[in-house]
Amino acid sequence: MSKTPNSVPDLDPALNMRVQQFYFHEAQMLDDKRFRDWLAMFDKSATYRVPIRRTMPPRERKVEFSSEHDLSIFDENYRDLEQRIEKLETGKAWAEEPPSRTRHCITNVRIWRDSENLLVRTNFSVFQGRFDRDTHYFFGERHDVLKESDGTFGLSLSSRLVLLDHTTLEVPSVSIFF
Amino acid sequence: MNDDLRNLVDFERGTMSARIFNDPDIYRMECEKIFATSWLFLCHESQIPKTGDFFSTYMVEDPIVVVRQKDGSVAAFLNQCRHRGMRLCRADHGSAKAFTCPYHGWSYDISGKLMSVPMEECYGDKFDKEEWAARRVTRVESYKGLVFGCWSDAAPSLTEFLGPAAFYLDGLVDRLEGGTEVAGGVHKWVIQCNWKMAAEQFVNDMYHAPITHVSAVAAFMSEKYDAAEQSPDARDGRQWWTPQGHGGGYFTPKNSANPPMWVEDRSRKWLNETYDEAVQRVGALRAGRTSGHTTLFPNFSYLGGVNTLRVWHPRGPNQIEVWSWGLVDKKAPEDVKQAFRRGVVRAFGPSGMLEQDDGENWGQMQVIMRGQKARDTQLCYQMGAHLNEFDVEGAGPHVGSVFADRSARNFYTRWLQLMTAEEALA
Repeated sequence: MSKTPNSVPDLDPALNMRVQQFYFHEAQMLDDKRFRDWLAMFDKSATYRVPIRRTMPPRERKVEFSSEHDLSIFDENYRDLEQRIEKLETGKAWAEEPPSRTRHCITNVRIWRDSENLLVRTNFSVFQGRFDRDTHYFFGERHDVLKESDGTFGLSLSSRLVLLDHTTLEVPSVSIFF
Repeated sequence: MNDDLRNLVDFERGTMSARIFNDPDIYRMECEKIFATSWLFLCHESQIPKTGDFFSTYMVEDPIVVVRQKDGSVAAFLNQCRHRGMRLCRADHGSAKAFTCPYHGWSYDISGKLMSVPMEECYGDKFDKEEWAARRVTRVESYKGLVFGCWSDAAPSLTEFLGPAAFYLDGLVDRLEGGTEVAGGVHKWVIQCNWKMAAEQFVNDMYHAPITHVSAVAAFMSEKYDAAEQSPDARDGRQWWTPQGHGGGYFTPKNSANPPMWVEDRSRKWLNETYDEAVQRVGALRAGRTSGHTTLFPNFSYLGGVNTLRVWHPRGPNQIEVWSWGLVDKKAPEDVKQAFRRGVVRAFGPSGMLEQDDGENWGQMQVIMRGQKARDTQLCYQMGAHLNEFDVEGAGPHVGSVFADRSARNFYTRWLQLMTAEEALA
């Protein structure tokens, strides 16, 4: 898991506002299906991983999440994410045609500065609706590394680790981003 | 019921009623007549290397703990305390010295033997712990790393049960010296569909790939893509089946490893680098047959090349849990293993660019079949009825096309045979 300091997060109101608005904008890109604009918020060298979560015995709980040497739900670099967007753009990606109605709610933004980057943890809840009665919910926490850049509000995403609160996924597939 | 069943499946005409996919009575019969008599995949040996290592799985809806024993063998028992029926082991996997029920504290050793009972004196003199072991899965056997369990004494051995399907399975698990291991982590997700929809697709169906997966094929297609070589309808292929109900299909390799387009470049390179060794071990047909789809009856499927294994665990007639593993060659260097893991995740995990589309189909089929009319619709299983059958030595009957319903008709013929047997057949 990504390391976040033991200290309490940064209180700087301007920084907090800027980072929070960055995430609200990102959620809007996803919910508006502007996936190319969403991807543009990542560095070209970005990584995006969603590990598998397991129920472990007490002594082994430190490996509750699958590592980068195991299988994951997503294990992506920038090009991989772009390839998924190309799939969506064919209009024949049947798990997203008709597209999901998603609502990404991003809360509990906590920021730590390290020497060059911002380490940010956010909570999320995502609603996914399809057709008439297919509804799914995802909950979890994102551990991001943000870099100062010429991106949205002067920031870009250089890595994201998504920790789902689900073990067995009660969905026919994961066809949305977190 | 037997006559009803025979009316639902008519392969003289090549038709089958949609009802077999959602009738609760049929599902109950399947549990008794098919799943209780068949060898079911439990886990891979590499998941439980050391004494006390365990993996929690299911045989249909019965929770099972599979544990490595002190003598190196593998035992499996029902994950249920004999006292009040509580779940004994509540972790997905791990290492244990004993399994202690959290309800009243009955404690079982790693073979499932009852070792201690709190306040045992309250049961009196006649209480004998030996009578109250956890219920052992009657038979547990491995085939080249794949661990299977079976509840039936009358069933044939695992090798007999696999029959000619072992021929192609060897192309996956015995391709290189040292065999295979699974990547850490098991994908688990839920599709609201009948287990046979998934099993049938993997036993029979290459036909869906260019349509269902058109968006993934477009996204994975490299600039080097050669339609004459790689497009599914331009390639020679075969479908095969066995009397046990197993079967599969593949594009016939042309002196190459024949990897599917959705494996990573490093995996492709590895399959090519190791091709000569594979030819020496298993011959050119299986060394190159890395692109195919297979189901081992009833509910264990795999795809070569990308190397995903999966069980379609039934959850009633209308739902499955997909449990999916990624297989890698044991002797491969770490970067190759990583490439195979990534390939499994990106193509056939729950977010897999191909996998996504399959769940979409099966879920919607299942919903529709709730309708009074829709459940009695006769579905068409006639494809390839005109094809000539021929034998491949060691692998039994084949037809010379991947586009056929021959393996599906065989799958359901076996299904009907077991379902209508007076005594459990197996």
